[in-house]
Amino acid sequence: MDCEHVQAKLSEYLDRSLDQENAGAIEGHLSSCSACRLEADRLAAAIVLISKLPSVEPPADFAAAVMARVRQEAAKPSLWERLFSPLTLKLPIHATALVLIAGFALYLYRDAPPLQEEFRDSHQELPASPPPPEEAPPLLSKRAKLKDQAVAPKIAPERKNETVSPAAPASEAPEPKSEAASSLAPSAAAKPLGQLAPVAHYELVVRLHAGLERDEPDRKGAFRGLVLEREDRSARPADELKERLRSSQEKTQSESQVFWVGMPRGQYGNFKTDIAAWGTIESESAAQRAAGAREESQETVQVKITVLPPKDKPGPPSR
Amino acid sequence: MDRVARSDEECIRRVQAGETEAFETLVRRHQKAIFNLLYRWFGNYDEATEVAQEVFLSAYRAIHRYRSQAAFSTWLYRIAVNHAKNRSKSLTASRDRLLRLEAADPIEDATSDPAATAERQEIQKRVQEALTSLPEHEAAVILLHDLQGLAQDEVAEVLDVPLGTVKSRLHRARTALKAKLTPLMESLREH
Repeated sequence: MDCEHVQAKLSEYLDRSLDQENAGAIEGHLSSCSACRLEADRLAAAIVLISKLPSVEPPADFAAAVMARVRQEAAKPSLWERLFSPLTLKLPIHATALVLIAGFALYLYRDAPPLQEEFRDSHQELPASPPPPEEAPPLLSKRAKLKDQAVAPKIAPERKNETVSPAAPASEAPEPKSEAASSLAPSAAAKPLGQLAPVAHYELVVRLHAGLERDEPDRKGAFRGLVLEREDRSARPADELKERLRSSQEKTQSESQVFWVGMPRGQYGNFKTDIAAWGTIESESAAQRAAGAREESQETVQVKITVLPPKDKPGPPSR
Repeated sequence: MDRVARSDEECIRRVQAGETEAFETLVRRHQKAIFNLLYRWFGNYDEATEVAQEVFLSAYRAIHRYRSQAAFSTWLYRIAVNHAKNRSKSLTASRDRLLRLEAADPIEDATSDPAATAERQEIQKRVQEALTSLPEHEAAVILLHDLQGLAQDEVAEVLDVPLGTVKSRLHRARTALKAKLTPLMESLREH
């Protein structure tokens, strides 16, 4: 055995926990190696110093102090006792709390929009989604498209009594109130509309007819312009838009303006019909939602409208 | 099973059955061993008193979970070592532990020769300093085995480590102490 190996085993040797063979080998080495013998003596002395440290008595009242705390601990009610004792009182309280929590959870579940959708779908209360759109022509034929309106709009009560007598295209406007949406129904006309997420946004480019700058009170129901943002959602989009254009007559006649209008989906068809009374819808497509616009539900649409000033020649535009 | 163990188990059964006062017997029987372990761990009388109380309170709270696989003293030592380690963590550095060392052990024999008493106290102080400077896992092994007299396999059970780990830690702790105490031992030899 070399010195390093011997010194590594000295602790076990001094504890007499080595087997006889190893113990004998170490003993033989120690008898001939003074360095290892010195290390063994020092190690033994250190062990003695530790083991000879005097035993210290705890404080005289140690046990009493411990038992005082133990008795306090024993006097505390257990978790079971805190929760359920007395049973006749606590059980009804817990039962009521459980019922309230369950009711609140159900309320939240019923009220959360995504979950509501699933709930509705499972109950099939909504009409079927519109079919995917086909490729939409860039220009509209007013008469033709109006005839092909597929979706019946929800007409505001005032509109049912209106007699719309604008230029020729508008004369047909009252009739197809039951089929008032244009053939460019949102889902059919716009390019990717059928693939749109539940909140669909449209973009219309409208060329104003000449002569619309004059206020024509006998043309009931005709749009006079387009609003930028609907602040009062109880008002009709047409009225708000009219007010907006009236306030910027000079601009309306000379430069293009861009507006955003939000409305219930069912009104979109009527909206386009009314536009056709005083302007030509030159294009319709899906649009990016207005920055900062509030999140709408599946039942509303946002429409971006670019209103172009009339062309040089007055009168209804030719197509 | 020896008389003490039978007695410990009997007390434990009574405490588990709700007889709180039976716990006092266990406290009085084991308080000195636990207290000394903690006193040598911290080198501070007040610290050892406070932690020792916590050890017994923890034992009382957990007594319903005690099973007879291990001796009650082994179980109690395990709680004591865990409490000591947790308390030590609150000390930011070993320097804090050394600063809390008391100047000397409480004097047990006031009638002995003052010079001899002073020398003995100085030796004990130096040994205590060396002990307190050890890493915790080495201090635990050397205190349980060399000071408290537990067998190595019992130390392994307290610390929940293999027997080989106990042996290697014990050797490292003793070697470290030897190195720290060699000057003291040399001076003692000269006297």
